[in-house]
Amino acid sequence: MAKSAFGNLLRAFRLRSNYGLREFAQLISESPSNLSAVEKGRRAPWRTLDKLRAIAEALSLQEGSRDWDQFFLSARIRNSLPNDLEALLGRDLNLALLRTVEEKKLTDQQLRELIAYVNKERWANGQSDGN
Amino acid sequence: MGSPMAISGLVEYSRTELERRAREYLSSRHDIPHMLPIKVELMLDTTPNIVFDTFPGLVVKHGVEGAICTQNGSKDLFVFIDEGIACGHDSARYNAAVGEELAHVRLHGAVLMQVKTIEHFLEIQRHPDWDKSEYDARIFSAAIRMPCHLVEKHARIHYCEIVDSLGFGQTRQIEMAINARLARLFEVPLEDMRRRLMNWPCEVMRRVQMSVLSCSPELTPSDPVKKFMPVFSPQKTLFEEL
Repeated sequence: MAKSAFGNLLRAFRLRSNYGLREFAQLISESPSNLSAVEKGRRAPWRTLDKLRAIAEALSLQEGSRDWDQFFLSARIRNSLPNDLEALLGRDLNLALLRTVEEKKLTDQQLRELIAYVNKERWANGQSDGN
Repeated sequence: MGSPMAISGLVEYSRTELERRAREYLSSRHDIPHMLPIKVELMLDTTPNIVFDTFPGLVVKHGVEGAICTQNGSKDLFVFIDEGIACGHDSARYNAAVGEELAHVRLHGAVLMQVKTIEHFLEIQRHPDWDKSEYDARIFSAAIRMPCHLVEKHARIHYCEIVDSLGFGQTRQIEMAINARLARLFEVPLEDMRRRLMNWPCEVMRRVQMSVLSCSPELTPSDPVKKFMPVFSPQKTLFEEL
């Protein structure tokens, strides 16, 4: 299991605040399985500042405190990707798409077909097919 | 085909022993906030050498709500709760599932340290020797989630309120109302609370019937001879003041 400094820190802060996994997940509008995956390093930390701030506040971290800085710094380190990917992953639905692809274990051929589907003319015009 | 080999190291407990162990365990958890419902999830998550996680498909594929095993020679015990239950809306069911896994860790930890995979765990679950362990875990879990002294305290409060509003004519309704109120307060399934209220050491339902029969506005006290009275240090312990 991959270790994650952010995940370890998040779990330590959560337990320090006496929140159970499910209880805290509900508080930050996440599923317990997502929260657990982030804590255990199976998933990257949340990328948007708003989300991280909401979590930090739920953990009663004081802005400007050492804990606050450590929390944001460890999220940032884990998130250090090329700028274009960083921007891409800032959109929740892009993340959902990637996770779906990963969970379904698509083959290379299936991925090519998916890309071809996305590249259809009507999608290139910015229209969805409504399905 | 011969009978399967016995599971080595499996300990069986008496009901009295399970109640005593549960009470001692609650008293030892000074780190858990004093509040209802009892935070079994936090207890499990903060147990040393326990990795608490969710796992997809345990109920659908294997018919179990939780599973426990070691992994890759790790000294940790991995405790998994079905993802659907963890992510679902039924907190009572979730607490029951977590409580039962916590009970297994406390009662059968040594045996579970020999379990290498979830498949191995499922195999042990099907073993006839495991039935008593499941029963023991349910009793221990109930005693953790619904400590007798807290059930007693809140049953008294709610009995007074309920007979005040319903009168003494409807014993069954009074029983059901107490059951529903306490199940909600302790965040446990209705059936779990019903069993707790029926059985020793709480035996609340029997006393509700006695009280209603004699039109008493107070819940009949528990029988001091039959009441579970473990020996503990005199200072106030965790969960006693709730």
